[in-house]
Amino acid sequence: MLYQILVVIIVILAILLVFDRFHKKKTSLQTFILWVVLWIVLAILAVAPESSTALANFLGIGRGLDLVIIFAIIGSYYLIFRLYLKLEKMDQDITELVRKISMDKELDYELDFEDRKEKED
Amino acid sequence: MISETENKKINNNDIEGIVIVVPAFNEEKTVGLIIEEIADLGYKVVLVDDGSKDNTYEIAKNSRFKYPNNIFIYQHIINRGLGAALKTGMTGALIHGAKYIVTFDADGQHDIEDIPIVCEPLKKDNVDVVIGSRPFEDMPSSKNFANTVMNIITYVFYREKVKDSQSGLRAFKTDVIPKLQIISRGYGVSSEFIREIRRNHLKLAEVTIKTIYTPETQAKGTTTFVGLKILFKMIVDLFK
Repeated sequence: MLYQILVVIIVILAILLVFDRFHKKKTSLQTFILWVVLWIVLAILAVAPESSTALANFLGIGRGLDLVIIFAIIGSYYLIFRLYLKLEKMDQDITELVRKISMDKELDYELDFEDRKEKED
Repeated sequence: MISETENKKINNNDIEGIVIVVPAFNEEKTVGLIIEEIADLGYKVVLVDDGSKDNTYEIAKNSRFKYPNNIFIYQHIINRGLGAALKTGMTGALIHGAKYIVTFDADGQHDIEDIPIVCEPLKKDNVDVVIGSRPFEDMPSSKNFANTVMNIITYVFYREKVKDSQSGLRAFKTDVIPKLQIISRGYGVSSEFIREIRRNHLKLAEVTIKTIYTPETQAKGTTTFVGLKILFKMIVDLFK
């Protein structure tokens, strides 16, 4: 079927891309493995949809597609949560930085102030 | 004129060690007047410009030239919210030798005559923190509602009953400042102070203060929307 061929091509391209990034040391080994596994699972599900049904039955979920969707939703929620925590951490870091700059700047301003006073005298 | 300034300086003992922290975000209309008025009474003022887009910083700078020994300015290069500005201001106040720290809003809603009133319990009674509560009857109804809800929420979350949890006029003894763990960088900070007072078993006093309501002071502060945001934040914090 056409969509199966398409998915397999996309998966191969994606894995090549991830491998390239890993090779150039832009991604860690963990991320590399995670992505490769995810893409391979996707390819298997596309080529042999019955496999998801087998797993779904094993877990007590009716249809294979339901299983895929449930995992996809759980996965995305988890990612959103991780992103939220990360953003909050960055936000706090920025605040720390801004406060630190404001503290340092006051001292500079003290010096600036001396300059201006001397000029006025 | 001269006798008037002399009169003010007689009370030197009363103002010794008091540093007023003024957080300001886009307050060019009021900031200069307020910090100069406070400095004129002999208090030290730490102004924190919280990344204002208007001329707040320039105006404050000019005020500093008029009162070089009383006004100190810190600038956040990007807006970080009330909580962050207060934190910076308190650190600055400590640098400039504060024994008592008073937080004071820059929008002109507080009366400078209330400064000695909120400081009094710190000096006379053994109180650690003073909150100046605004009489709710005087508030416009929308604010009255939002602030009442905030009081209830603060009570539900932090188990501390206060008359006005969102007031901007507070006074602290400096030795309690390091104990306060302030994480919230927005308006949620007001409720966080209450939480910290309870957590550290600090002695709290509440005094009634005046509030000046003008169109400027009405636009900001605890509106219903800000209240909802604070509530959301408090719920999220529970899960951390």
